Amino acid sequence: MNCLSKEQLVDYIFSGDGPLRASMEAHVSACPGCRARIESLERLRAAAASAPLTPVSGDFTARLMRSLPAGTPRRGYLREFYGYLFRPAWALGLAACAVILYFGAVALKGPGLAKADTAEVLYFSDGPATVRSGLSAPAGTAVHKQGVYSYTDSCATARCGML
Amino acid sequence: MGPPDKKELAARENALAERFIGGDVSAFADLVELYKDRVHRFITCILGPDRESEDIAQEVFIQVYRSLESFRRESRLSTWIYALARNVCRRRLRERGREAGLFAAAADEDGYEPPDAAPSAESAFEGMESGRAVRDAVDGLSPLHRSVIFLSCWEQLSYQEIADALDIPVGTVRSRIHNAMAALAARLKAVLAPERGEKQ
Repeated sequence: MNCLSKEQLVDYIFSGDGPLRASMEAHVSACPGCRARIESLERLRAAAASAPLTPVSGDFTARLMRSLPAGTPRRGYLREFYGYLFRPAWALGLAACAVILYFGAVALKGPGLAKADTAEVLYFSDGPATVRSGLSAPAGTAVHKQGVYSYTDSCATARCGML
Repeated sequence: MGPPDKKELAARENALAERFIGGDVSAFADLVELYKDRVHRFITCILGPDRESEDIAQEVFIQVYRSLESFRRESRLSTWIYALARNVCRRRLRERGREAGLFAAAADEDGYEPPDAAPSAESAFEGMESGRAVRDAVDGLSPLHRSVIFLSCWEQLSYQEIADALDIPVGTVRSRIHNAMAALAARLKAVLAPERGEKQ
């Protein structure tokens, strides 16, 4: 193994294990240069760890405890339930189920499931016409052929209520 | 006060958290005692010397008090508390309009290239035992370097724990530790040079 890179030096000191640990140790034990660098970095680390903390003021904890509400904070059961129900994993699972159910239903019923009913189109002997909304042909007067209702001229009168 | 023993501290903080969640409010006071100086130090690492640092530390502990029950134990309690402290500091910086530059990692990561002579700079530290001088040298670093040195050297957190606390990728932690140590070595060298000159 070659001499340790800067990154490997850091790994050697700060990350106790790793796939290359054994080979690094073997190299360091045989390489005075790497050993000196590691010892130097170790001393630096120890020095940084020895830097004293600045203590907070003596009444810090007392002030804090006075500012807290009495008793341990309790979450309501309902909130806890909703919190559990709508955790991200659950929400994603529910959404995935909804999508699967929708596409399953579409696959079973066919793509026409979401389509609106076919509009009635009138064809008279002299061409197509429109129907006033809210009216429909009396039963038995229309012939259904290939998705289109055709009406006879005789039905398309005020008597049938179509025009 | 030196660095805490990791295992002992983890056991103690977990026991205190259990007691608090079980309804023992005095356990929270013990938890505050355990963390107050460290949280305060972490805040000053991010914000620098600040008149309001104790108030911010109080705000952090109020957040801990309110949220401890929801702590899911996916990380160590200390990591979680530092992440809360980081968020409170960020909010304060935003309020003051100073966030740009402090948490913008790009400038730090790309702009600083440790000198090739970093090991020799580190060796300049030999014989240096003054905690005060080291403290001053650390205080002279950037907020990003200060916080990563505190978490890695003092708190002895793992790469992953530091990444969680600072909300940065693990790879960034590694490079930031390296840059911070090189910057600290250079700064200590600068601090020591005049002293050595005087002695000669």
